[in-house]
Amino acid sequence: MHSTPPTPQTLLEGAAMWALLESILSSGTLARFIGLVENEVFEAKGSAAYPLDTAGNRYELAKDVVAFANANGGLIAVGVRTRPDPVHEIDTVYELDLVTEPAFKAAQILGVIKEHVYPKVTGLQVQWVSNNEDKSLGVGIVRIPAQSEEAKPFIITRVVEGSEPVRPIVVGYAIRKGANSEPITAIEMQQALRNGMSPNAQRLTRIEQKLDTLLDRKIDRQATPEEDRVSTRIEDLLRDA
Amino acid sequence: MSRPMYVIAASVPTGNRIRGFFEHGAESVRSLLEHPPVFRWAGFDLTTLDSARLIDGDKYEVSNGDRKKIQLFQDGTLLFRAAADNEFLGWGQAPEWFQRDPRLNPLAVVEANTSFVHLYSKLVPHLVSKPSSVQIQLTLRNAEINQTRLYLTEFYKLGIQNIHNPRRYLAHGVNMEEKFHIPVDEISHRPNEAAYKVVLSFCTFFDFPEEKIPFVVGGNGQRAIEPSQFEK
Repeated sequence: MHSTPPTPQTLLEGAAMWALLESILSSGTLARFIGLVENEVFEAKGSAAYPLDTAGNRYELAKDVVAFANANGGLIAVGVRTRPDPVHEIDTVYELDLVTEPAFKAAQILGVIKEHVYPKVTGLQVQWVSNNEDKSLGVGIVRIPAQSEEAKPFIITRVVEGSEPVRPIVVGYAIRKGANSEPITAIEMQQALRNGMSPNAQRLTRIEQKLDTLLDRKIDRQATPEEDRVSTRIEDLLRDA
Repeated sequence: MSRPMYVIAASVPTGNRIRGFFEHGAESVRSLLEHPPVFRWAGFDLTTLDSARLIDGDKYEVSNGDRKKIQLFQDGTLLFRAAADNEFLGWGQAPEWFQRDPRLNPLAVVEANTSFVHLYSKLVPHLVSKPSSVQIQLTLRNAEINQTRLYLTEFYKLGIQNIHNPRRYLAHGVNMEEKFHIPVDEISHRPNEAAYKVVLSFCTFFDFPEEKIPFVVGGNGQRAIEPSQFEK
């Protein structure tokens, strides 16, 4: 579906944008996406977004989810195209690029997120919403509700360098700033850890603690001696291969 | 390159043990490992054609190269490690073909898991004390080759080569595990129902739809694998 380049009609933020997005999705009138601008709670993607066949693409999906989870939550819509608005210098939805339900691999996207993001994102939803005008087409939605501060920071457990996955002891941290998902740099992380800047220092302290947890393979629960017994035997058997 | 591997483990709470663990003879657990239950000749089962070796004084082991390895511990833990590539669970291509197209064979997946459950059902009577449930732990490791994930397809009776562009259900992770409990009475007396739960759990590694699991009989809450449907 094409349209003439729109003027950004809706420069909404936060709760107002959430309400508008939910209204569009519940109505099924997906043309209402046109004119929306990306911001701290809304990311627009074309239909070819998030092919899951490479580590790099899976990382991109995880980065976007983590960025929203570390901020105030957000919604990613797959099946809408944006381009920069020359006047306002923000990415604005200018046309629909709808997808069929099979093409939006909701279960696989959910699985990738579960595998690549820690801790678990509460209330995460991945679904396809049909368009009223042609119900065979629609948008894919990744809905990341606002997460509790106690759960943060969220981290990307598998990062890539070039196109190669890096060993899982290296993790990534990203946060939504305006309309961008920005990874924190190593220098920023080191300075925050060293200087004890609050609240970032508190969050980064939690990153350290959660890294230790991941490295000790004690995610989410305390292993009982019985679990250790069986898991140790499984690891021995795999090492023996 | 790390090879794709699958391990299924059955265990009971600490403190239990297998009665007559060190005995020989046709009724011994040792004999069960050497002659596990099978559903057909040359199926994707736990047959290794090996003689059980006692290792470290507390476990038996039988193996068929790196394709299959089975360990039985005195405390009742049974482990089965299977190559998740062209050598066993994967489609029977040459290694270089599998590296380009890492497709698992749905028949091998279902039959191997069902065979494991049937073997454990034969071991349960040898436990000194009957547990209330058995813990099953599934581990799929290295489910990615050259950045391509292992995948499952539906079972096509006429052969997948006759199907245009079959849908691929990709492994949603590289290293995955699942853990759950099955009542011991189910494993002992209704192993095919227990096997269905194991296969269902394996399928979650691939987000494979439950309704497409092959060789299944029964309706809601009573589904079971039907080994008589395994075909050559």
